[in-house]
Amino acid sequence: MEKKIISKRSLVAAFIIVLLGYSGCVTISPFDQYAYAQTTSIKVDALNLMDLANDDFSKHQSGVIEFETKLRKVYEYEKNRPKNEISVKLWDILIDTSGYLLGGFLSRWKKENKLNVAFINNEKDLVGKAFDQISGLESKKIKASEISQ
Amino acid sequence: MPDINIQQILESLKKEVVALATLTFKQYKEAASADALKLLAEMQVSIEKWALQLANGEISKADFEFLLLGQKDLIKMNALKEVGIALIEADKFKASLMKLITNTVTGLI
Repeated sequence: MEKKIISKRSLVAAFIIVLLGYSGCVTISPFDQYAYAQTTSIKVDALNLMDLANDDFSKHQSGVIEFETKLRKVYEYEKNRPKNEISVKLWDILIDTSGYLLGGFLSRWKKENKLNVAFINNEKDLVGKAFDQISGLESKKIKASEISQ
Repeated sequence: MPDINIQQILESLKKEVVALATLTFKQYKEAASADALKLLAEMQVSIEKWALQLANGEISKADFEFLLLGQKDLIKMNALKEVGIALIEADKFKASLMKLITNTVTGLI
């Protein structure tokens, strides 16, 4: 078989081209400690707020508004991270007011004024797991230390 | 400037890339399957519990339906998360591949 021989110079040039081509071709955002901390923090707030849903909505309206503002801030941060489409899609499902997780739960509370305890506990279980999908994906993302290695 | 045997470099890289790809994606496949099975087992327990609560009058039919649709949303989220993890694994694979090429090329020069 004929052996292909190239010069060192050609090999180094090819190598540099490959490296340059590689830089910036990461397909998903790297790990973000702030985003991870915000997600786990707002999960606790969300589950605490849901506990209040067996009480009249009107009594907790200001608390709900405050929570929704915090939620929007977290969402905006996620939306503006580059290559973060999948995490944003996860947030979209979680906070969709016409859906059946956190957004849908809060809409139903507003609409029906009060929800029963068994339903609240079951829904809290689902919403908790939904938050875990978001934080679970974030924690798997490539850390800055792994990129620079 | 001395010459380099490109065939030798490619053969060496080929073996290591195949081993790296097999290991990376085997580990991902096993983790994804375990995650899906765990979700399925939890879903079964939840739905049985909700059905019992519905039968006992602890939750309404509307509550039950809402929970089932919530479970469906959660499954969608799990599937999306798996897509994300697959992309992360692909990025990690590319990073390992670059490291492998760097080490192989610099080792032969």
